[in-house]
This record gives sequence, C-alpha cells and structure tokens, in this order.
Amino acid sequence: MVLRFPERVSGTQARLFAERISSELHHDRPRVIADLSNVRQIDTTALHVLLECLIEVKRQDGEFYLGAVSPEAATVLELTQMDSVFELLPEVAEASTNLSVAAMDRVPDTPVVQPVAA
Amino acid sequence: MYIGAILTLAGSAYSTSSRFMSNSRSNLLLLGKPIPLWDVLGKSLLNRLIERLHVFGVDRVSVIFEDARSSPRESSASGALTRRGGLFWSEWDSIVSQYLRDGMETLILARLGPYAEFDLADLLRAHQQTGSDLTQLYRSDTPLDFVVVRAARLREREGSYRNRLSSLLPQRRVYAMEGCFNPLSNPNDFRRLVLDAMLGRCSIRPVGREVEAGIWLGKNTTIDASAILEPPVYVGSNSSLGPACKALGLSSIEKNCDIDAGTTVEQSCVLEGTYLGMGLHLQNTIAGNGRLFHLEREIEIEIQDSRLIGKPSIHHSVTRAARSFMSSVLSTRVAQAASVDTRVSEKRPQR
Repeated sequence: MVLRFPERVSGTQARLFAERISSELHHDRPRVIADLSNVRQIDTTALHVLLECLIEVKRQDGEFYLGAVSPEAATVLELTQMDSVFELLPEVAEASTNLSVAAMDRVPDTPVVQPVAA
Repeated sequence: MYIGAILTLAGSAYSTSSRFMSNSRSNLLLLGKPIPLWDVLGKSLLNRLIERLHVFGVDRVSVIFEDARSSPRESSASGALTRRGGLFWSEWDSIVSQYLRDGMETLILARLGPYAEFDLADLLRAHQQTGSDLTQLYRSDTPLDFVVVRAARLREREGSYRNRLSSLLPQRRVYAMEGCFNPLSNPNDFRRLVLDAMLGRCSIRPVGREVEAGIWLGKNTTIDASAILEPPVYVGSNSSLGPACKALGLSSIEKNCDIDAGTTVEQSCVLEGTYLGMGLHLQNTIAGNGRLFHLEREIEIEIQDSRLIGKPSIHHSVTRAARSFMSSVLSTRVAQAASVDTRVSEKRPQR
C-alpha cells in the first residue's frame, strides 16, 4: 500500500494514515510506503504516529518505508534523528512496482475520512 | 568637522524600489529578519558598523528601514536611541534637513547589504583631499552602497534632498576598497561570514572571553559539565548548553539561547533567542526565529513545534533546574549508599 501525504502533516493526518493502513496490517507481511514527496511541514506528533505505524508493521514481519522524502521532510527527519530509524526510498513509483502494492491514495488535509479507491 | 550618517536597511526580501546608488541586489531576509540585524558572534553587523562610525568620528547615526511600516532609529555619539515614524523618503529628507540645520559638513550614506571592510579614515581623508562632492566606495568595478557627500552641495540646490543627491552622482569620485568582502546575498554567505570571523579571516571579533584556545564564551553562559565544545566554537551571553550537548564543526550559538539535553549542533549557526529541544541533531543549518535554513539543500522551513525549535522560556529553565536538582539528589544518595556498603563490608569478619 502506498499513501501520499499532503503538504502539511500534523498528528491528524498521521492518525488518518494509521487508520488507512490498519486494513493492510491484517495481511501477512504487510508492505506500506508513506509517500512524503509533497510534504512541506511535518510535526513531531506526526512523526510519533509514523513511528508507531512502523512498529506495528514490523510486528507483523512487514515492510514500512518513507518514500520520495521531500527536502523539507528530510530536514525534519535529520533534525529529530529519525532518518536513521525509518527506511527511506528515493523513488516511490519504482519501489511500488517492485513491491506490487495497492493503488495510491491520498491522505486528505482535513480530518474528513474519504473512502479508499479500489 | 560634524559628520552625520544615515544607514538604510531593506525591509523586505524582494524590494522593487529603485536604487539610486548602485545596482546591487536588495537585502535578503534571513529567517524573517534582515541579515544586518542578526548577531554575528555576539553583535549585529548594524551595531558593529555604528560603533565603527563613532570610533572614526561620526557624530550622529540614523537608521531607517526601507519598509515604510518600520520606524527609524537614531544614535548620537552618546549611544542614545530615538525613534521616528513615517514613509521612507520623507523621513530620509527630514533627517538630512535636520543634520544640515545642525551644521553637518559631511554626510555618509550607506545601505546595509554586503559586508565590506575598508579603511574609513582613509576614505574620509581621500574625500576631503580630492575636494570631491561625492565619493563612492567601489569593489573592483562594482559600486557599493556607501557614499560620502559634501553637505554644502546639498544646501545649494533646489528640490528634494534625494534629487540633489542624484544630481551629484555623475561626478562621483571612486574609492576602491581592499579588504574582506562578503556579498551577504544568501544564508550561505552569512554562514561564510561567521566562519571567517571564527577563523580570524576578517576583523569581526567574538564578543566574550576566549576561555580556551578557540572557545569563546559570552557572559553568564551555562555549559553543563558533560557538554562537549569542539573549538573553534562560540557561545553567546546568557546561553546554556544542557547535559550531553555537543557543539562541533565551527558552530556558533548566539546569545540568549537554550540548547536542551542531548542535542548536537554541528557546522551550524544558532541565532539569538533560540530554544533547541532535546535529542536533536542540527547539522549544516542556520536556526532561529522558529525557522531553519538548511545550507546544503538551500531550503527554509518553519518549525511550528516549539518542542523542536522555539524561544527559551521560564518553563525550560525550571525543567532544567529540576533535572539538575534531581541529578544532584540521586548522586548524593548513590554516594551515601556506597559509603554504607563500604562500612558494612569493613565490619564483616574476614573468612
């Protein structure tokens, strides 16, 4: 599963992301990519939620990546030293092909939960 | 000789106002503030220039922001500051008029942008000896925003003082500067100036005391015993570094900063009044005013999470004091327990 984050990522968007991937966690060895290519701002609450998602995916013996990390997101990850915690992918498209994940979806800016496209 | 100076500061990054003195680029804002207003090793470039002007005999210095919403400041030789308000050009004319009424003979005009080191006394001397009406500072073939004007010529002509000044430009004399120069056109230039100052490659000197070779500390700094300072490094007055902090790679931490426990500042500048949260690694970055500029990626980002970057608060100092207190209580208890164990083992009979 690949989920693309919006420009501003707060705890709200991160928790929506966690809800979205919860279905993936029922699969054996889930594979999740958080696409950060559009991210311009991300706060510590969001990073904590992403960390919890990473832990949960790893518990299921799965794979969790941050893909196409924008320069802004990369700077915050380095600042908080979380760049050494997550596995980073330079390109999302190539990685999603290799991992054969579900269709890309978009985590909305607002807290409204939208149905996932099939 | 009565010498007056008017220093102008660009108020916005992309000013489109016409430049009557040179074609140099407008001042860039660094993390939301004009570069000359940020401290470089304890003192802003603006204040360093004002001090230098006073040392070389300038009697009055006025500072005007090109942004019409900002208020100009004035500094007399005694250092007193006054404020005025109003639009830039009308205020500029007003200041020139006041200087002329007070008997000013020589007027220095400077627009703070690039950092340039030159012999000001020699420039004033050359201006006087050549009998020039207007002498402009040049670097190679590039005019800089620093001119010296014979005040008498401003009294003679008609129209606004700005127009009278413009009429003198075609006959300007050139004074070629030789010395340290930094265009200060982007944050990397600012970082380069800080490095040059720390390495003694320009005349900027740190404000503080060199406690060890290459380690300068301002007044009332608090450096935890476990913190590591790798020279050359500068920590400004009233700043604090918490437990297990590190300052590496030619880093500068200006005054009134609070670096929380476990944070590393590497090849970076922390501007005055900045709080850095716990366990961070600031590398190749300028931080301040709730923002970061990453020098390699050349991007600026706003950090709204004050737990990462913010302003020092009473909360931080209370928390730090509490941690320090608990640490001392625990170490005392450990020492007490160790001494009890020692006494018990001494009393046990040898077998």
